[in-house]
Amino acid sequence: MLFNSFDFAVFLPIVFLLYWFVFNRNIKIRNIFLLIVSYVFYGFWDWRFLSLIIISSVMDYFLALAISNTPDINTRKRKFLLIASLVLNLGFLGFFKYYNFFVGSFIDTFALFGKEFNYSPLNIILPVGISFYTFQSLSYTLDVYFKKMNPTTKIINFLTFVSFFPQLVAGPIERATKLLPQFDYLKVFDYHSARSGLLLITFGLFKKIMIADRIAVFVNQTYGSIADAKGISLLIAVLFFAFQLYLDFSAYSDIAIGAARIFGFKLSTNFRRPYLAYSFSNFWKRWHISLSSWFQDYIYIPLGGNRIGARRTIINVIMVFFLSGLWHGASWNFVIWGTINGLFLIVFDRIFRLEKSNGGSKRIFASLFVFASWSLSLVFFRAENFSDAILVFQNIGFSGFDKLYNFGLNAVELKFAMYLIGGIMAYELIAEKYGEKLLEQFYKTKPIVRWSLYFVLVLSIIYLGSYGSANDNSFIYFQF
Amino acid sequence: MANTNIKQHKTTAVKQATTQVPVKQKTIYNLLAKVAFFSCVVIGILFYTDAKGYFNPDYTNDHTRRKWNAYYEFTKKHPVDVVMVGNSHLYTGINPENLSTALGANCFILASPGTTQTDAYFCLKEAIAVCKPKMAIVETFAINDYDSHQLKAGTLSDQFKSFSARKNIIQKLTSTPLLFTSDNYLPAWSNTIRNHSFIFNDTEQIKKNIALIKHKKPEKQGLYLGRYARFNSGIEDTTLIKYDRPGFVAYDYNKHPASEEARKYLQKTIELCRENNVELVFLTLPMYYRHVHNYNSFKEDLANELKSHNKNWLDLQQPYDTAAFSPECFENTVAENQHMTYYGSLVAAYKLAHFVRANFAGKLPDRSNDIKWKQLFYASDGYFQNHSVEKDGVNKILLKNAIAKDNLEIKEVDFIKQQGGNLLLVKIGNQNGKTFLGGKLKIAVEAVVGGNTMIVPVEVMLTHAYMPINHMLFTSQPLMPGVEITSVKDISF
Repeated sequence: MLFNSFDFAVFLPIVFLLYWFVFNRNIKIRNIFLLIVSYVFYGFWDWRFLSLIIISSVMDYFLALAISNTPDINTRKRKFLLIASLVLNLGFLGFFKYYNFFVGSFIDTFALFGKEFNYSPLNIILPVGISFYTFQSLSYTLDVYFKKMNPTTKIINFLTFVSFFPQLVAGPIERATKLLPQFDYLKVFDYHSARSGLLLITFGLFKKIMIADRIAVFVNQTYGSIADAKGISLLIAVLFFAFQLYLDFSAYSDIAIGAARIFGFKLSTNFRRPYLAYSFSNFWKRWHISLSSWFQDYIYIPLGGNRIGARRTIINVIMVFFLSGLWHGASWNFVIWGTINGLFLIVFDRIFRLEKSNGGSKRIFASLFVFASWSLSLVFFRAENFSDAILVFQNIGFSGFDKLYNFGLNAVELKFAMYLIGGIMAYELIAEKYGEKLLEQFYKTKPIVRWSLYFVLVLSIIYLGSYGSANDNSFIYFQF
Repeated sequence: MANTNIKQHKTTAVKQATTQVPVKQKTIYNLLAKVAFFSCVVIGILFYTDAKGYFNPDYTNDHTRRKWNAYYEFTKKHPVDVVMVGNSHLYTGINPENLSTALGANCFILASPGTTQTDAYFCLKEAIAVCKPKMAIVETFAINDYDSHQLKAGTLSDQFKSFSARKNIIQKLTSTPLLFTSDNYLPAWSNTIRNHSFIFNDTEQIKKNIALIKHKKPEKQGLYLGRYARFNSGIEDTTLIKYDRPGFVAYDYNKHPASEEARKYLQKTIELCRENNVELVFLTLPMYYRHVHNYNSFKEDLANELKSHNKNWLDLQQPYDTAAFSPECFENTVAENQHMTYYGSLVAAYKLAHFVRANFAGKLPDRSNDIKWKQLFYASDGYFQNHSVEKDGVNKILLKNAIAKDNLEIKEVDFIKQQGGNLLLVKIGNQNGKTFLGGKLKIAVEAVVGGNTMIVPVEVMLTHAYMPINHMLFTSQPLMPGVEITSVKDISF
């Protein structure tokens, strides 16, 4: 079920009313209810793949208990149990997401040496959200193994933690230490939290439907005919995609956080105005924070982080970004994209000390530089394959203004999209300055001001939004 | 000093605490009330723009809507005897005026372009609810591989149009989830939601809609039975050559096997007609015989589906009447979807009329002597070809009930005045199977040409286009302007 679908618009209010009015006395029953609706939410996409979530979360529940019950002396058994969890989770992920990629790459490698194999790829459907819930479930067994937390004995709570519908298919990837305890107590309705949740949902829908889906039309058409889009169109498409990706994904996170909030849950912040970052390390503290911190905590730091010498630090950084690229998709393009970003971090932050430019005009330059580099790296992320990505770099330029309106957006809509992006960036600049106070101030304004904003947001989505049967409105990160 | 200040501060705080009214905690009911109010306002605004029609599509080209409007208007005054449902093949392939005049009945086409069998079923259901016909005719081209929930943009747009044109709210509500995926429920019901992008890409249409609101004129509706004569010229020789290309296949029935949904709604259509005691006829309109491949597989499949209804199936594709369905009958295209021309729609209409008369004798009323029916159809397309001319001061009967040479039974010879050239119509008895060599008759008529009276020979032809049930019809080519025929002098083969 997509957040921007009619199904969800019906589903959410029904679940909300049942949650607060029917299942409001007993925490166990309420969690069972949340579990069922989360499975229904996922089942709207494909019921068959619910079995994967159930198997992986049930196994992790028991493995974590077994790890916890095994004495420290018996390190072999503890390790075995952890490896069992890793094999199970990464096994599912590996098969459904990477089988064809690895086998294909293996065969291509042999072909380079003149050894040919007959191979036709398996027709494997990639289960929606598998990368997200696998990492979430995995972090639990890892945390129990590393004794960062005690395992829960309540299986329903754990199953609900893994499948909690607001963040099931595209995050934020929550840590058990933060989210799991929230299933332990009966929540009391908090008006202010629910109100801010609704505002977040609306704002998320605004970003997705008004901006991301509109510029997606232009991006899809230019990337669909790279040679025709030669020049300025391609340049705009490259920059647009950076905004599309951000607004699409951050919109999903906003809606997820907002939806969780109306049920009394607090999810982690996933984006913190990344395009105002002044260095690459600063960028990764603002972009897809739940994944970045996951890689930091479970890969980078266990590998030694930056504590064991400069050379090893570089290797660790490259390793993390390589894996991050691979996490995004089973294609060399994603691997290249990830690795390039690792190199950016090493070269520009560590060698050229970009991270020191936090202030004044230097910061503006640094932010623009980070954004431009990131946008160019995303060519690999967006292009269908490596040769298309190279074609984009070959054809990008400042000519071909006459063709600018041949790619799905006419002059009015293209300008409108640009104004909207400008508006969002202006808002982010203000939010960067005032932080949480901005929202507090907003709630203190007169009702007419607040209500006007609510109406502007919702009515502009309805009347000016980019939606309809001709548009593909799914979220980009659903494919991961 | 400092102590005094603290004391003062404390005292003020205590005073404030005692005088302040405790703030009432806002509850879930507050939120629900606000959300409900907010939703009502938004829905109200949406409803307003829908009602005003700011985002209406260009209805001047929406013949589906025109059909439904006409159907509702027509049924207020007249009964409908035959309702036909299907897709564009039907409304271009059957001329309803000629069918009506041939049968002496009221026949209405409620077909919409690109429709599915599911949509056809719901159209028929609503049509029956408005005015129960004696007979329903279902064209079979909509029994294809379409699945309502997987329609592509173009076909989906047609389905939206068809749905939007219907008026029965309850039936529309119940059919919504069957015709559309959930994401299309709102676009199906609201023109604003469906066409909101006009703001960016069709502001002219919005301006037109606003102008229309200001100067709304009542819709004038003459006799309109749902036809749409879209193509007037047949397949040209240059197009026919394309069929000779090796391996060329224009329409392959094997690529469009009936979907499960189409089968299901075919059965539901049969059930619907049975429940309502409506005679059901299936009609397959032809495409040019060289256009179609693997028709047999479709025919066998459909025959299995229809079972006992097979006898009610008029299949004009196979056996194919090569003489009647000449290239002139078909749209000049080798693209997959080939429609019939106006001429073809006449041929098919008369074949259908003969089929209905032969197989359903007495099931349809013959209204041809009913004064109201005559008023409705008089001078409409096909009326004079099927019925007698009245004393209308314009058209004339030149000869009536006479026996010509070789015992040729002349029922009537008419001089018909019409736009595009006056006509001479010769109606003769069916002649018990007598054949007319060359399908021609020669007539000598007295005519006034430029003020001079003279005897003029006129050739009239038996055509495939008009095949009335009760007589054979010979028609002249359109006559020269200004020629007034006053009497018939001689008729011969």
